Amino acid sequence: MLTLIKIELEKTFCHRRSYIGFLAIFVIIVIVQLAMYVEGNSLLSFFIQNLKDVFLFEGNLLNGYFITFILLNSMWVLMPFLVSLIAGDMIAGEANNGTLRMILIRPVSRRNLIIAKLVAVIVYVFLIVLFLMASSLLLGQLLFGAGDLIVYHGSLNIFEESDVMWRFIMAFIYGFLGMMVVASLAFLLSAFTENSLGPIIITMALVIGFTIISNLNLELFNYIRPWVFTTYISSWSLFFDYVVDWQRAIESAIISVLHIFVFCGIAILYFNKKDILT
Amino acid sequence: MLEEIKKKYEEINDYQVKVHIHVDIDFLKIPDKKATVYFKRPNKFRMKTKGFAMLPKKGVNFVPTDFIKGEYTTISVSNNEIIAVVKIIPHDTESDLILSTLWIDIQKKRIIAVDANTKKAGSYKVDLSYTDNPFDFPSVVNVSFDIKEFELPISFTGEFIKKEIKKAKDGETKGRVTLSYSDYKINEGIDDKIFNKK
Repeated sequence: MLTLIKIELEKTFCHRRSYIGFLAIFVIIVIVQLAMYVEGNSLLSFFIQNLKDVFLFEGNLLNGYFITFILLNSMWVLMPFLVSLIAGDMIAGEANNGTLRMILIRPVSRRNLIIAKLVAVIVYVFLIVLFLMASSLLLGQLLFGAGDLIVYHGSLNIFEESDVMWRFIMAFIYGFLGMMVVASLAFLLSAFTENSLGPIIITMALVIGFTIISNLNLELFNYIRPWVFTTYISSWSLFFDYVVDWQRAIESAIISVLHIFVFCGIAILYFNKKDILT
Repeated sequence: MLEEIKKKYEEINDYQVKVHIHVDIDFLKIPDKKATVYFKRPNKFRMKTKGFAMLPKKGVNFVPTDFIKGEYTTISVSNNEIIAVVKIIPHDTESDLILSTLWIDIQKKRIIAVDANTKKAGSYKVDLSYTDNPFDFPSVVNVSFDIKEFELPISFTGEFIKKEIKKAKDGETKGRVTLSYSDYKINEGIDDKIFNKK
């Protein structure tokens, strides 16, 4: 089993395509950080425009944490695409290339093979989310230093520097869970098809469609909202509420994990009985 | 009586004081902060703190005579043995202050509350509590004011669902800041370097 996992990891990280995500993230982070270095104060002034008339300020809010939060808010739009690009290709890509049947001719069980592929997806998602968090935090600290964090999440929240890092760690864990839900869906769709483009496009279409349902404040959607997985993908931002709603956070984590198990479970069951023709 | 109060504060050249800041605004959540405030005549002011802190522009640099600067007209509204209520109209047409109402403790010759109407900052109210600070400096200052409701474009927040904010009137919400002062050091001399911001 370990050998299978090793092979799948090697296959995943030997593809140049696997590094597109890392490169895209890094380039965006560098561009945004440099732009913030030049124009960050204007953006921050916009955040606190109403308060400036009434208050005197002391201290620096344009710091690495603020930039990281801005980046995270924007990057979660791109991240589902990056993870579905790899997870959607994991099985369908091999079927498309005709290598899947060749692998299964050898004495490996289907169950072990798909689990090894799933582990490779989990490792990839973990690394790309970690890379996003670590690179934006490190570069932010390097260019802007640390300090209290100001965010707009329902209200304008200001957190003390000592109160910030655990929130980013929890955001990373929940971001990982959210991206794993997307990756699991792409992985499931990948098991159904022989063309890797299909799972990627369907996953993205579902993510975009469900995100609209999750976020639009229409009464009709209130009934549907709890049943679409995108409602829980953005749970990482719960940790930037001034008082964290732990019940909602725990519920979100449980529902995300359930989604992952259901999507991957169906993928494994289906793949075990799939008629592999290519 | 106002001139007596004014004279008492005119002896102050500089002061530094520790302040505990509690901000209570519907759309703003910030932990209580501790800072040190420095003041030197005629108008040098600096707040120093670890991290970030905010102080209301009105009521922070509170030498209570701010409301009775220059020439002014007074109208006595009520006057009993304990508290006098006086309206102050400054003569200076350039003054930001339009009208202020002062509640004065007659026996101790202290301003205990101010209701001010200004051109730029709108109206605000300041309540002062005293202990035994030198020069009758206040121990606790409560500043209440109206503030424009805070709103960011969706593109900044990613939030399509708006949470409700209590509104005082159209587009405005109530704000309140409590400043608890301690450890006053008055007329001990403050180096000018302190007022140079990095």
